[in-house]
Amino acid sequence: MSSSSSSKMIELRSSDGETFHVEETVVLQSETIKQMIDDDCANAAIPLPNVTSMTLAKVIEYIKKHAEKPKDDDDKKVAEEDLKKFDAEFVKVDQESMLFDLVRAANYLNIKSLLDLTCQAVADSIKDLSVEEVRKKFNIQNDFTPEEEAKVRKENAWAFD
Amino acid sequence: MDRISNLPLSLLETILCLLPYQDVVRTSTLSKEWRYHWTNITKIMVIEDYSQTLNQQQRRINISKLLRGAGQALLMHTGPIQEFTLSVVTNAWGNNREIDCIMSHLSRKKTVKKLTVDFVEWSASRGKLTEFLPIREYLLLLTYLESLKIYIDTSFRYDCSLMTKKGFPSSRSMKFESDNRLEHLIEL
Repeated sequence: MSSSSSSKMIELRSSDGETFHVEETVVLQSETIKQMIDDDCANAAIPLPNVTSMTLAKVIEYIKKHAEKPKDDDDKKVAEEDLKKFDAEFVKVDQESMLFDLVRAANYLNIKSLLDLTCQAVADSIKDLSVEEVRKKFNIQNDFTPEEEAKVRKENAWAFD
Repeated sequence: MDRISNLPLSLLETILCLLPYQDVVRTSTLSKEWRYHWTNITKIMVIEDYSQTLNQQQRRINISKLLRGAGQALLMHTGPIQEFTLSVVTNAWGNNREIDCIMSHLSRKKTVKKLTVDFVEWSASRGKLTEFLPIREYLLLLTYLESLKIYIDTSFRYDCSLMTKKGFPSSRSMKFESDNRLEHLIEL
């Protein structure tokens, strides 16, 4: 299709001042940016003060992949499979902090499918961990006294074996 | 740095909604800040841990403990509950007293829009599901319900996200697609 070449480019600026050029059709997956474009606020670079360049690059990788249109029905099935694989790989990030940055960015940019994907990935990473393991994983400071903790635990003892 | 707790509360709750109820309840002991997050989630999934290999007897004890625990925990729930999922292996399931209790808590919430009941390995040889579970009564209790999904085994999943928009009281007229197997098992 030739439409891609004629698509309008939108300029995004990350919190650390890096600019990214993305096709308008791609960037419309972000409800937040779509709103800005609809309100005619997107003539200059759109500043995204909450998103770092590293995170924004990942987000753009995601929305680009998700903007690919399959040519026909046969292609559609292959594309769906391919997208599933892409999503599974996408959330395998080296640093856990990146996953949380992506959750925040998806929330701020209002990209529902990315928010669902990243929240599920966080949930999957907590599932089946003990309380102590969850604290360690997320650096949560336990500010209960042992007595207080035992009391809270007793309240729902069924959930703890 | 406390990375996950730094997420806005709405996002934390979104994540908690994706975990089995027992995992969510356990977060109460993480720290003082986490003490009551679990009582505010809008989607609850009471799901048996199928991964353990247990005999029938142990499984029965586990299901009973899970359902009773969930029933108790629901008493402490302060926020609205919009979606409730119950998923247990029913071939080891004793009686429905605990489920009755859960449904009665849910009915008091008056917010439950979606109910999913997944009876893994329900065996038709046990007879009609309604003989064990008064689904019709539950539907009358849950007055705000808009969607009901009943899954019976992996080969038979029934989804009736139907309903009149007014919800269930008027849904005595609700229509299940004609399916002999469903009629046999549920007979609504």
